[in-house]
Amino acid sequence: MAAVVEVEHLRRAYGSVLAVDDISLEVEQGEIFGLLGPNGAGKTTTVECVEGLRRPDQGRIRVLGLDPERDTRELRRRIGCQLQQAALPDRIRVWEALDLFASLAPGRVDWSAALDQWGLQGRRGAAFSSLSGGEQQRLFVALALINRPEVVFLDELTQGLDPAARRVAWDLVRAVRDRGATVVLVTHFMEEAQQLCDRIAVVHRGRVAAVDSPQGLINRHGGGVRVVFSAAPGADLSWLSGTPHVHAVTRHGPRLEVTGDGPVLAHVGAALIAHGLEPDDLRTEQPSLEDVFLHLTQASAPEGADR
Amino acid sequence: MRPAALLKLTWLETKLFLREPLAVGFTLAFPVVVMFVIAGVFESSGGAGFRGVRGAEYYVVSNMAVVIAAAGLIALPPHLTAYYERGIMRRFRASSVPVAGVIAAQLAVCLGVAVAATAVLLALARPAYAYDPPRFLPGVILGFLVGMAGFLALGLLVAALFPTTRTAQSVGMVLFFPLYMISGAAPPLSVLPSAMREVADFDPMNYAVRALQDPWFGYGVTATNLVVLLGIAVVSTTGAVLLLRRH
Repeated sequence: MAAVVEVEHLRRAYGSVLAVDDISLEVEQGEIFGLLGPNGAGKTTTVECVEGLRRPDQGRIRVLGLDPERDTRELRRRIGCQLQQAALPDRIRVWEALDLFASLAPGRVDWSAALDQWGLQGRRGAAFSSLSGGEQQRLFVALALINRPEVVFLDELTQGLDPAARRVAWDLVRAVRDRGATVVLVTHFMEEAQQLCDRIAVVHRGRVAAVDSPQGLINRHGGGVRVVFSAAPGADLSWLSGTPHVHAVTRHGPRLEVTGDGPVLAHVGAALIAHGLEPDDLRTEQPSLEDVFLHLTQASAPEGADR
Repeated sequence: MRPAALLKLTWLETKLFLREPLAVGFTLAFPVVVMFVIAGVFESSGGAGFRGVRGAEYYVVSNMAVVIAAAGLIALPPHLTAYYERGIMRRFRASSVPVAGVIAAQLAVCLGVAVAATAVLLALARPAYAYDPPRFLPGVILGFLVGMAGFLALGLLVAALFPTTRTAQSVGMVLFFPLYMISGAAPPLSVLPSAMREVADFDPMNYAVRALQDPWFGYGVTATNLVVLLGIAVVSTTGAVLLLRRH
């Protein structure tokens, strides 16, 4: 698979504030790639450098083989950008914005389809300033996709959308990927990253803390599987710690929590039965992306980054 | 940017301009209203203080410069600054609309609206004051265009200097009114105290007024007026471009 976006050792400071310390990543053709991180982690600065909207202090960037600084015009024709902070003139109407942006795209584009797709048909003649936050957001995404881009950058795509509209947006992003485009998604929203992304880069303090598929991240950084069940308060369960694949056992009153890896549930289950215990609430709790995120962003305080 | 797209952008900017009450009011309505008031007051005056023509004619011609200054100082700065302040320029830039194209479209719209406003002014004044046509029309057209160049460039500079729409708008207003008062388009310069007349020599609007009056009233084309206005255009544009590049 060819890399569609390549970033090597990107660095960008605003005055004395280091927004991006050292970021390297590769986005492959046809995937939904997430940049996940807390506010101020450097996600937006990174994508803005990749989009050619900001100049990096250091580092090498290639998008579709193009240099965003040198081949800006060619690049802009082939990518689509939804920016985190952007606006349109207050008095521009929805159709006028679509019509203008469509006229800049190569070839003929039927923008009226975008109205339907993004549920803006009823707001065709509405002024930008009269749109709700969700409607503005949907218009921005429609505009980002209007030139049928090969790579789409979506920065906080579902900000301001209600849960129903969010699901619709997710389906549309998947549809964009299925059409063959590559999607780079910036988000601080765990569920969105987990639902949508093929791979995620966790960005923290201007560096990439980890890159993997959501499940891969969970397996590696989620802190293992937790097996949970209840037992009588006095029962002797010291043998549990000797069971294969078990790392630790903690007891909170009647509730037992066993952390381990891989097939720990099966081994704990077998050992319980062997010891004559049949708890009816034996279950595993899989770590979530949130656990990964907290683990990666709290445990590691990278050297030299103190913002 | 393809010509068709630039044309579409210019048409869109025209519609946006016409939806902006402040801009429309100041370029289209304000000059006409003050022209009728002041030309009415001085209708039958004349003589050297009015450059040898009737007061009414003096003011019809002078108020063309009010259109020019309003387009440059009042209409343009808040509109352009808002594009930078609110991320509109970034949004456009990210979708292959070049910044230069947006600014060119806005300047073209301001020029077009000023031409239309001038036509309205002259057409409405005609039945009321029966002024004489320009003695040297090409000179008047040249004066108008050079005046527009000077004031649009000043407007660009104001937009580039001030980061918020609110300040750009206030600064435009704060510049416009004093410049207007001593430009010769409000009270005739002959009634101003001598100290104020000396200050008026530094008023760009004064040069725009005279660049229109001289050829219209038969005093030919005065190089000083055009050179000053062109100088302002070049210096302000250069400054604005340097400042806007940093955005």
